[in-house]
Amino acid sequence: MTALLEIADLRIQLPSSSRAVLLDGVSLTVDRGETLSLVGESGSGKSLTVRSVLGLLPERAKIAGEVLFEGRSIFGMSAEELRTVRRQDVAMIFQDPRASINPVRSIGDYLVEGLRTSRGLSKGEAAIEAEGWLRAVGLSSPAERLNQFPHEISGGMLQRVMIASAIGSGARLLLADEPTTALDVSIQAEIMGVLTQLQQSLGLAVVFVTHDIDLAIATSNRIDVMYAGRIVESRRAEDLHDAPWHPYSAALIGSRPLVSRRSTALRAIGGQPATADDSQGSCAFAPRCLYAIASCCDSAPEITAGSGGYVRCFRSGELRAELALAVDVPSEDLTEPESGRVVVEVRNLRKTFKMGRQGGVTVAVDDVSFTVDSGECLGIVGESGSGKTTLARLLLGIETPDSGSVMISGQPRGARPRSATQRRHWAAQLQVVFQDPYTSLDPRQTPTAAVDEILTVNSPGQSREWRTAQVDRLLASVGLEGAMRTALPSELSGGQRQRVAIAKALAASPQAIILDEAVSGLDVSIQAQVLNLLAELQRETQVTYLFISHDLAVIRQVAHRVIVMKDGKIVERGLTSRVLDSPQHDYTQRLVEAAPRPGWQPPQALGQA
Amino acid sequence: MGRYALRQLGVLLALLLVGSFVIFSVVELAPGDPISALLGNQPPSPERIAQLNAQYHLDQPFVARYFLWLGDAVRGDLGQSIVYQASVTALLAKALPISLMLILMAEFLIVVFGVVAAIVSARHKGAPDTVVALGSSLAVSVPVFVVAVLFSIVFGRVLGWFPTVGAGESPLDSLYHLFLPALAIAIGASALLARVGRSSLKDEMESPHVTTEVARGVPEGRVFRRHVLRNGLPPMLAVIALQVPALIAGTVVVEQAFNLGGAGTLLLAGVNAGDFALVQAIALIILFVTVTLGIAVDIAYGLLDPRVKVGGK
Amino acid sequence: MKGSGRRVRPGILGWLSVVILVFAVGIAIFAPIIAPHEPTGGSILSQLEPPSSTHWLGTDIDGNDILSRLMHGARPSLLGPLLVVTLALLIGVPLALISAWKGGVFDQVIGRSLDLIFAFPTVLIAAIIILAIGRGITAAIIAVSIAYIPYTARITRAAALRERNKPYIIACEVQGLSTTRIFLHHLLPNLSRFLTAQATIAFGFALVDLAALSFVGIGILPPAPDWGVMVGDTTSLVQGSYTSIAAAAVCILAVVAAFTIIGNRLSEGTERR
Repeated sequence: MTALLEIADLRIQLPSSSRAVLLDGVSLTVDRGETLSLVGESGSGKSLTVRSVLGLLPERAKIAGEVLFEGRSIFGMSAEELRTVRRQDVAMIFQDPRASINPVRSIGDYLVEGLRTSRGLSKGEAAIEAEGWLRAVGLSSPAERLNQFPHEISGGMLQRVMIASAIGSGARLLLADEPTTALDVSIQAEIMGVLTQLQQSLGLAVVFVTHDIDLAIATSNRIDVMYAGRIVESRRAEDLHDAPWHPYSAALIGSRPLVSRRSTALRAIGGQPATADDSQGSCAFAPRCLYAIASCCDSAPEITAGSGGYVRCFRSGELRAELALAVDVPSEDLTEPESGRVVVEVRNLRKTFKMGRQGGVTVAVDDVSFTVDSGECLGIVGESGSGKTTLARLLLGIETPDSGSVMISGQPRGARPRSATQRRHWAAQLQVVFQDPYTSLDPRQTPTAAVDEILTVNSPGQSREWRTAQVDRLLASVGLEGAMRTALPSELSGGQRQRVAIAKALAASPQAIILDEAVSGLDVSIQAQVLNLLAELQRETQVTYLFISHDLAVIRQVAHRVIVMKDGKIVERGLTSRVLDSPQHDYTQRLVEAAPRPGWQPPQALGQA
Repeated sequence: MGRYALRQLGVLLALLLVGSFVIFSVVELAPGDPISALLGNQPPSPERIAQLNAQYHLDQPFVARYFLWLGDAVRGDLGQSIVYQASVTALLAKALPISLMLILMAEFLIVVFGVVAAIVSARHKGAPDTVVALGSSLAVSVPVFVVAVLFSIVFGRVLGWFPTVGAGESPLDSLYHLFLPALAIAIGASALLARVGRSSLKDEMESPHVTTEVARGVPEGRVFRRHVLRNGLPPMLAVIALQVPALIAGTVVVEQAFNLGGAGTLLLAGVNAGDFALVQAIALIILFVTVTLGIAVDIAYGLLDPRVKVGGK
Repeated sequence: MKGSGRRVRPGILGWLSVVILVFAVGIAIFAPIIAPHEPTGGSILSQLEPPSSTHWLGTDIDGNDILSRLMHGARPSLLGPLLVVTLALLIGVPLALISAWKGGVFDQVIGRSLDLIFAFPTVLIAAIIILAIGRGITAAIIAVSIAYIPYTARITRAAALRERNKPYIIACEVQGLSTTRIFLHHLLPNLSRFLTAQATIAFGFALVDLAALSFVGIGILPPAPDWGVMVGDTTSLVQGSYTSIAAAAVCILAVVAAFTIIGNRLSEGTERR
């Protein structure tokens, strides 16, 4: 019997000169009812691989190899045949439901259009079915949802709507391209629960694209790890975590923080992710690989098969034991630093925003109090809408609180500082690193110029020589060397930009730094580099961190203490290890349970949303 | 919705009040005393002075004069024109239909050319797209008056295909007379519409929600109609609205080039003669049209896009 | 210039446009020296002569050398838009920056006032100004400048808001930079390319608007040499002598197209980053 889906030696190349090779010989099969995960960092080609199944390819791309659905070639089909496959056989759900559903049409329109094209139903029949499918994906009051518009419901609900349309088509294969990446972790768990349950009851085959290796292990039968347009390792899901065969898989596992335990030090992968293009004729991972030998750079490794999988690595045989050890990262909780003086003290802070003209009010921050000591890292955890970002803006003086106070080094933070002296004063107290490394730097300033400007402004009396020395010291401390120092931000990678942002924050020699989702936009391997850097800097300079994140695992890695926020309130606080190991509040428990980790399973009950 | 409409009505009234006040104050800004400014270069006969005193209520304080003047205008009394020695209302009754018809014809051509070019460009990559892209980027900068004169020379005077003077007698004749003028106005404006439409449709075609529809096997034509065109419409509507003042300016120019005798011709004659009543009346009408259309487009935006919170913002 | 990393690729059209502009500006500057004849004061005896070695493009209905009128006409045709764009930038940009920075009521009032001006066609603004101060080039330039202030302010405000809401500007504030420094060292430099592009495009349109006013007889007044005046010469039109009209039309078309093309090339990539 032929496999449901078979991709054979798929190569996709753009006609242009830069980054021309996108996929470099991808082969995989998916059987009926099976779930396969494609795991990799951004640019690995995982998304393009699943899109090729529906013939959704970049324009003018050169294609070699085959994609066979039930033995029929997708590339050999007429437009009408391909449309039939898209309508009835293969369905796809996308990463960002808000962008992927037409915003100006109602939910009902969206579902009815799908049902009518896939199954040829009449308008009336489709409307009745649509309601049923909304119920099947666990949406409450489905009849009313049909008349709502996408902007009126949450992202999680919208993703359920997209799933409803996908399974409603009667497809046998579901392609899920990072379907939960844009969602909060508790919503992610619910969506994955819905997906696995439907998959089992309908006998669907699923190809699941994700960057989260724990999520992949928990939800799939097999995992293909992709790097630079190639599959470097293909394994049974249960085998991969403890015994990876490829150094890259091992590095992925060793570099990601966990909510269940804190790594003594993350095994960050050095360097930057490669592309298929600049690694022709060699192992793409070789430049970053701890185990690389000369032959890794001379030719591309072929497949080495083993029991229940295969790997592309010259040294896979000899490395197995070593890699198994490498992923067994020792764990150790942070010890609370010697109690220093209080740097940040927040008392009964409250901030409300008016909503629209009707005079409705949302409470963004509600009676929040906490202190942070010098040399400490306080984790501030919450999902979207928890008020953590508003809290950061209040601390930075960008927003003014309705009531309550913020004291930094014993001085009350007042209204947004306007004068230069005031700004300089507060700059030496509190700094910030934002989430998006692409917009948080002036696109016209080199790292050297940026750091120098802050020194000029904040230490006006100092000589040029002193500043040059300081710039040198600061950039070195964040690991920026050579040409990177005089490159424009557009020429730097995300991780390098974030290092510049950290150097700039340090340049004002602040008492404390707010890290507002500072590693959330980065791939795991780069995230690990930055997290390790931050830990090192704190050890050296005793600077205080307020680390804001939605990611409990990241918080576990960096924070001594944590506060958990929900709807503007602090619902739980304490030592990070205590809060995450034995959460007391219901909400904290739900958050901890929703975070994927080894042995984790998505909740099986169909959550109502 | 009711609340929103009411608010927009309030904005409309406020803009009209402020705008008409500016138009009215011009008399005050003019050098010398109002009477001599209003008289222009005609002999200061006592009857004329009395008439101006009545028309502008010169015995009243400034603000009161404004409201009296506005009240008269709202009741349809726009004063006496110096140049034409006739009531402005009567003059406009004859001239406005010509300008209006010209504008409507031009707008029709703009929308047809602009939207068709945008759709062709978005649906047919390659040569058609390149032609539209290049053609529209050049045509956008072609001035109305230059086109008008060149048309009048080439198609009117040299080839003799179209009349070069007057707006025609019967409605059908007008259509013939106004075709070249309308075309002259439409070329640059439709090019701008085509450019904006092209990029707006292209953005939509590349948006994830269109990929979703393609991935569900919805036929291309249907995706284009229901998802690309529908979503790409608002920016085109915005351009059409933004172009209205330029369209009116174009009308003035073209009326001059083809000697059409519309409101634009009156405006120019009024300016050249220092005919305050005439210029102010036309200014008031233009203000009313552009401001009302602007608000209408705001409301249409809300109806086209459910995300624009009706009542919010 | 250490720019934003994107290089402008002018292409053939772009280079051609640059050549046209350099040529036009050169002629405008040196018109009194290089023009073969006086632009005005021709004699009826020499009217409507065909092209010859003394009058390369022939003479117009007033007996003036057409080429000389074109050359002298380049001066007001280019100087006028320069004044307009400068005025519009000088008033519009600060207004937009303050408006975008302060927000709130100030922003609303400014925005609504500009909307109101925006509702008036240029020719109407000119009509009102002329009623107040009389006909002539001053009134025309003031009118077109007033019309261009809301345009400049609107697009600058939108661009400044986009830029202002980027985290790096907030970071500047937190890092102790004064508002003046943020404006001069970060906000303006990052808007400069956008503003240059928009000013270039606006230059072309201002040229057209000024010429249109001259064309309808309420801008520069004949017999002064100006391209708009030359195109609007009704007497020649009626008499069927089109040389001077066509020559001036070609000048306007070429120069405006050149400004538009260069402006578009400059603005490529500056919008919606």
